[in-house]
Amino acid sequence: MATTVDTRNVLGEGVSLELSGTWAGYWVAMLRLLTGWWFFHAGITKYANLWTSAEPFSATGWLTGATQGTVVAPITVWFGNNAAWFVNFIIPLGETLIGLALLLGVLVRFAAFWGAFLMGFFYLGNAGFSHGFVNGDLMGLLLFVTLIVLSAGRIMGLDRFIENWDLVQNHPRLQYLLG
Amino acid sequence: MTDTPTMSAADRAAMLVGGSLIVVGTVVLGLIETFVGNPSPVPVTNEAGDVIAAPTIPVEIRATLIGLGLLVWGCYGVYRLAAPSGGDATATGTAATAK
Repeated sequence: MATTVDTRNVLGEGVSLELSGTWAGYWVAMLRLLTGWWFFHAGITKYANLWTSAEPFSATGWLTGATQGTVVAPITVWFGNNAAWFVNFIIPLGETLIGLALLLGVLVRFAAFWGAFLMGFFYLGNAGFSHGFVNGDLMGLLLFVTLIVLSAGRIMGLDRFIENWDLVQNHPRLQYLLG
Repeated sequence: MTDTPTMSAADRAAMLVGGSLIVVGTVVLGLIETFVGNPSPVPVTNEAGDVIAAPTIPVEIRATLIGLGLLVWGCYGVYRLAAPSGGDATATGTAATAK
């Protein structure tokens, strides 16, 4: 059951990592599903006003208030003052679609890139980093990067089949968006 | 890089039971909950404190399922530590020296 992964270029000469390929694959699929559900739930619940009397989602307070003084404030405050409609539109839609893509295993690397992009803003928008620099937002960002590195869509995901399409076979560069 | 899939019964049980409990508790019941019409696993209130959406599936049930799944994974880990030869021929996650 063990698989030996050659890591000598990273960890030094003569070192390899022995692990269970089956468990590693299982774990990658589990990470993909749970990360996908995390974002899908975060996105779909921002549309709650469509079926309950909840207030419509608005990021304006976060953009112009909570992120004040952070390194992303020049961007977030500008959007909050000039194009809050765009952020209010793209965050729920983006989170929902990123989550759906991860759940289904479709365009996983592309979706995970945008997940990491969003998490980058959520992480860097932490005013004061009161929970420290290594916090839940950074962990979420790292999860998306992990899914990209390990090609999570190829394990129990539809990307495994999509990568066999002629389109992808003829344009191998597309595999950087899949898998 | 090759992989010979020789899974023990304990491997299969941990993967299937542990994973199923956690995926059911999070994704499956979450999807049902969402599309039944409740956007959150806990009661949602407005500014006046009125409940505007209550969960259909009690949060305790989902938390119990997820907790049991984690417990299965944890027990499997303890089993691998305690069982002779780590439960099968090769322990996982160990560093080895390449030739």
